[in-house]
Amino acid sequence: MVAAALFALYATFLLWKIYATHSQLREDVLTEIRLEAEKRSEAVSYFLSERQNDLRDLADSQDAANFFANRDLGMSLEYGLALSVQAVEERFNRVKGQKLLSGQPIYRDLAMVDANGSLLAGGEDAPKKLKSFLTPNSRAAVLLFRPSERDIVITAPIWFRERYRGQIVAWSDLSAFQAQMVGAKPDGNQALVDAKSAQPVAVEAGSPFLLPSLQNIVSAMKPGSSAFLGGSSGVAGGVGVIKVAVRGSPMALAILVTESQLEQRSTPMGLLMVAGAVPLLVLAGALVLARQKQRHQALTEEKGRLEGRNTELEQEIARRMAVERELRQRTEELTHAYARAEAASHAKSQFLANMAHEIRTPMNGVLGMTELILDGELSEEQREYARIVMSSGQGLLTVLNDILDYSKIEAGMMKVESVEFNAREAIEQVVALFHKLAEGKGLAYRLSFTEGFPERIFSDPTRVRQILSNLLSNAIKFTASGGVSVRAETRQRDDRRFIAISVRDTGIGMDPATLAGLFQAFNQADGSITRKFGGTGLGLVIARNLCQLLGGEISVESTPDEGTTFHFEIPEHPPEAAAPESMPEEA
Amino acid sequence: MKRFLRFAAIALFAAVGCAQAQDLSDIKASGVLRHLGIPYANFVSGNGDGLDVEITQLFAKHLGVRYEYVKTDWKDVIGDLTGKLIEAKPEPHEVGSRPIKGDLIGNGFTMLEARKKWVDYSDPTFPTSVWLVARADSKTKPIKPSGDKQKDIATTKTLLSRGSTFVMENSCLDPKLYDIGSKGYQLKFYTLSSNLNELIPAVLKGDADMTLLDVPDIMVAMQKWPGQFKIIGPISDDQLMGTAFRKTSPELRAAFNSFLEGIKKDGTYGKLVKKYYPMSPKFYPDYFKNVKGMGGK
Repeated sequence: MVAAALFALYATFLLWKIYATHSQLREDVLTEIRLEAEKRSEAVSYFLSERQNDLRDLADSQDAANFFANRDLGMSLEYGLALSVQAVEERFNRVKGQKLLSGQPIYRDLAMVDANGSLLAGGEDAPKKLKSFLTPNSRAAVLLFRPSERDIVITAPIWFRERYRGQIVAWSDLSAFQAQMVGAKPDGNQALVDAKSAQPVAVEAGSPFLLPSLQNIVSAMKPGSSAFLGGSSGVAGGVGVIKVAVRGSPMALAILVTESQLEQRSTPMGLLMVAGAVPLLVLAGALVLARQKQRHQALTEEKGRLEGRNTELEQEIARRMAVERELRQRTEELTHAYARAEAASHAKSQFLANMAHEIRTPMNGVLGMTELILDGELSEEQREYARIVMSSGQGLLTVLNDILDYSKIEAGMMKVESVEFNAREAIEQVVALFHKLAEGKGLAYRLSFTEGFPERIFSDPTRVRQILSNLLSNAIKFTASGGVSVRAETRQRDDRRFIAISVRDTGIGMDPATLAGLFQAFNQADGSITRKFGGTGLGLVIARNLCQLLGGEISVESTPDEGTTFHFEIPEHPPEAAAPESMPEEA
Repeated sequence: MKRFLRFAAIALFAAVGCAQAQDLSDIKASGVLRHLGIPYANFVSGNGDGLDVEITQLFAKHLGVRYEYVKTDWKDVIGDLTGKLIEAKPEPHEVGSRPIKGDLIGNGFTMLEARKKWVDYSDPTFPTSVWLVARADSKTKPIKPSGDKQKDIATTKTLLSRGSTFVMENSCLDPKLYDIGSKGYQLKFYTLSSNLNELIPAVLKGDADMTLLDVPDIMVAMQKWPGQFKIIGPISDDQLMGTAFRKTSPELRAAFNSFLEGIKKDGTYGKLVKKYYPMSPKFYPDYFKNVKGMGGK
């Protein structure tokens, strides 16, 4: 930008300098035109001199000499001399063909004339009177400008054997000559004029050189001089005139200098204005370039930033892919571990189920025998011992049953039925079973049914009893005072009906942490509970699993030291039940 | 095989000098046109060019055969063409046969009546005359033309008495042709060669005072020895030159005439004349006035 501004300043200074010297240039231009004219005049002089040489050569030629020699010998045209004439004319033809100016013949005609002015050879277009061209007193070729005839005549004397014999005469068209000398398309501002009278040799009508006022000025001028034209010259747009002599001839070259010519040759205003626009253009160009550069820089920076971000993203992607790979790997490992654990658990459950079954069978035997013993004659002490055996055995059996059930559930082998049965009756039966136990602990014990509780539902009666038994057993176990109540109702959700049973106690309750792990296996509230209340910790897990298998759900609310309420609900009809099997009424 | 036999036959004929007719078809079959030539002015330069040489070369090309130049001299030229052995004295007569060496004579061969006995001429190929020429320093002065050619001829003949004059037998300069043989003039028969080109140098040397010379030769001599000799006047009427053929070659002659007409019409002939005899239109304006290619002079 700075450079451009400096350049603009410098260019402006230059323009001022140019303009300042414009006037001086005008003067110099006139001088230049004059010098050019002098050069051209020299060319014209040379040309004319060469024409004179041509004629001298012809006059001195062997063919001309042979003619006069044969004529001297007395030969007649009819017998021999015509051959000499032929030779001269052949030479004339060669000269006409060879001497050209811009491709046009210089000589219109050539003739050999004798000392009396009679035509001897050539001269087909020659005038009848040829005596005027004789120069018996000269040895040199002569130029005659004949504006009236519009031609130039060059004539050279023939001297043979020291006697004047005649003349070689050549005619050349003046207008063609002038056109060649002053330009093929004369612009009307140049003309060949008579040096003395300033009469133009051949110009078109309307030429300024025909003006008497201009002719007066030119005729008064010395050759090689220039003059400024005033208003009186009558030449529109004319600034000056230059006159240059054509050496070796009576002619001069007159050149009119016009205002437009001066402008053309000096620094034209148009050029100045265009040149003046150049520094502005340069400045504008520099500005555009600077902006371009700026934008380019910004784009480059943005590009760099984007490339950096790109690299970061690529790195992040690589990192995440590595993490993914690790996760996949670990997931795979975990899946394997889980499968192994599941397999192990399944194996264990299978083992437990087998073991429980193996143990239960002899246990039933023991209990059976013990019952028989109790039916017999026993002392009080024996009877006491037998009762303890019976109680222990029953307790062990309960544990084994729990273990078996849990194992079945874990192994996925637990099956539930879907039969029609009297739910109300089943619930009453289970509640009745624990009546004595509750009464023995001094607890209030109540069962209620809401209105509309269905008589018959489709589900698994054994498992429903089992769930309720488990909940009642726990409620009574963990309640020292107060009471246990069971409430059975129906619920409608979406288009399905459920039976909902709540078992409420006023027992020890549980804190939220205990509630969270309640339905997990082997998880009694804490170790002290197990010691105090016994149990395997499997009951609620089994109850929840059974609920879910029946299409229902179990939940609990509890407050420590205030009591606990277990809710479970099961659908009256299982969702996929087709034609549920009706179970006969059982006692 | 056929071609070989043909060549063998021709060779045989040539070997025994048999004067069988050799016309156009034979020439075409042989594939060569033989041009009998004698160095003479600008008709046959002796260096392979000349007006008649170029015309004959073009004719051979026109026929589609090869051109062959056969050098001869004024004494033998007709015999070389016709195959006839001719005795010149007392009058030219046939005495036997000889080998044919050429098919045409193209030589600035003036159409003389005596020659027409032996040969047939083509249409004219060039105009000519015979003039009397003297050395420049000779006392014999050129005649003043009277406007009557016959008068001028008679006047010129009388001037033969002024000195010795070269003539040449059996050529266009034969004195018998112009009835000057037995008039008591001092005629010198030039026998050193049959080359007419040598007559002027011989006169300039002083071997004779004057010589008869044909105009074409004079045209050449005026350029070679300008101002050294002068033309006294005419010895003959305007004559014509032509190409000569055997009387037994009518087809060849007819073909030549047709060819000559063609080159006169298309400007080729005019260009050749301008090349070798540029002055001729000036000298024979009537003959050349309608000839194309001469620049209209």
